[in-house]
Amino acid sequence: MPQTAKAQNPYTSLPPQAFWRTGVAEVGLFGLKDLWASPWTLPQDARFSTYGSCFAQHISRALLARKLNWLNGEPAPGRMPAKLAEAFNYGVFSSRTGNIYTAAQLLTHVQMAAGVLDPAGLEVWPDGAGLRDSLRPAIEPQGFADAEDLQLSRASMVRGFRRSVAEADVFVFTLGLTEGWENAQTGQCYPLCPGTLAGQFDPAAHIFRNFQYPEIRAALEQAFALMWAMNPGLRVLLTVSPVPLTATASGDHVLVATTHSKSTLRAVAGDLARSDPRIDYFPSYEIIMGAPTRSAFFEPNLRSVAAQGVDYVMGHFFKGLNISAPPVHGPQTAETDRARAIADGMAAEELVCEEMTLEAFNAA
Amino acid sequence: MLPDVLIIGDSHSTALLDGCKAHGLSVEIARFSGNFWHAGKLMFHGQHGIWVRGLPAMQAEILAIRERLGGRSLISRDIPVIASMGYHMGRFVPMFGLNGHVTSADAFAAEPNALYGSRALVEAYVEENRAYHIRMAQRMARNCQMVMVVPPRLQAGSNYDRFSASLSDRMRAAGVKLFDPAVALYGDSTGVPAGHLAEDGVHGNELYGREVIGQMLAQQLIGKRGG
Repeated sequence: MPQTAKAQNPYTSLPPQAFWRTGVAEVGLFGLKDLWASPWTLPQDARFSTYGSCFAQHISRALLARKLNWLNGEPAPGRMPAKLAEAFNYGVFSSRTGNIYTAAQLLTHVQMAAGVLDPAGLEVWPDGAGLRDSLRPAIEPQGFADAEDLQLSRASMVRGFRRSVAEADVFVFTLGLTEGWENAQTGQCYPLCPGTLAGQFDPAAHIFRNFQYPEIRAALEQAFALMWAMNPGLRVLLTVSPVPLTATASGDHVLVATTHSKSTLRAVAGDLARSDPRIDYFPSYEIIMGAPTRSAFFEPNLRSVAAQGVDYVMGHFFKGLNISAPPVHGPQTAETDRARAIADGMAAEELVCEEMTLEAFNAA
Repeated sequence: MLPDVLIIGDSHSTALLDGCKAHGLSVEIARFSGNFWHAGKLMFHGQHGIWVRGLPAMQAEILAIRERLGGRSLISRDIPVIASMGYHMGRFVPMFGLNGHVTSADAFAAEPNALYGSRALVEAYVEENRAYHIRMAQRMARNCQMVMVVPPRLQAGSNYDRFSASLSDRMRAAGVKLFDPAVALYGDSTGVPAGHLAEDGVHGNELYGREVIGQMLAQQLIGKRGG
């Protein structure tokens, strides 16, 4: 074949990372570069909301560790010890949704925040003397005291979720599963199969769903449309969790089911990112699962991602992130003012107390 | 001569002291800032009854009271105690609401940006901040005739009201005898008449103290020596 014909084909002008040998095999794991570059130039004080499956928890921690602006729509009460806040699942996601594994679950949360789905109409599950929230069964260590307690907490979560959508610049969502359970009559989807952590499994009422590409894509598109109605400038950054399924109800071997699930989610995320400039995809899945790692970032159970793997993923994330635009939000004056008012009030009372103590020395 | 009552507490003790005086009770008082109580500076002490960590002036005050009690411990079986300690809600309840957390349906509905703190969360928060104080109150109550006076409950449905109820439940469960002016004087309602409040709107005034002590006398929770 003549040399000139070779020079004219489209591959000859591609960069080294477009080829496996130069992009992956020769550079090795720690030579990988340009895996992702954000298409958006974000303000220096860009606000990030984070939700999704277990792996999404790492993103919020990494953002905070880098002192970036992680938006917490439902923070813990003031001066709450970290251990207590953790026990009540504060600070894990941008509101206390618990893990959102499926696109259907995300849609439910967005619909509640947008006011098109009444949170009070969704199931509550008896649990001993109390109740569990079917949307987030493990959100409180002991469950809720009664229906009012549960519904107020759920409504609070909806407020926090709405705030985290309305006030964010970037909504980071980590897709976790295609498999899920829902109520055959009402269509309500569950984060966990009833009867596993809470609730009671009823084979007549609870049906297994292995959501397919069109359903997942439609649910996400519907969710994003509602989110953009709340916040037209919101950008959506999708990732896919590299964490394999703990178990599958599909009938397939769990390894096969995992590949099916992740492949479907990866395809949906990639196609959405290519279809709309407001959506992007960050390849956390590839970084952990790709051949260069030789599965080295998994813990011995071959499921949990080791801290080094998380750091490596987030390193690529921050390398590709562009937050060079001028800040737009300014200081959070409302919260600062409220904190100052409370501190002033406590100081004033303290002063009164101290003065009253002096009265003890009054001999009269 | 031993006093009719010894008051041990925080800034709410002032109204109780005024009330005791108004009813002609002889009274001693060991009063410390709620800030010190909150910080755990006060402790149950086998010899002195109560003691203050690291504050010599207040230690001297306790020793002076002991001297006036004939060398007795502040927690003695023959000295009735009116206690006003363990609540100190001004020291920690406002912080619970720092990020907008409320604890009732009414408060949640009234403020569109409010967040809700569940009952279990409140209990965990109270446990974190006041388990030490409840234990101290329990030890005091086991070693003297003690009545704990609940601080004024000011606003129904407020965080103060919820935390006050939680603390009172814990006090009772610990075997501490309670006197709740909201029940005894105001028909189990929150809200203290303006005429019973000090200028700061938080503490009871002399009139409030007189009503509280009068009711405690009527219920024979306290009394005059030999009376």
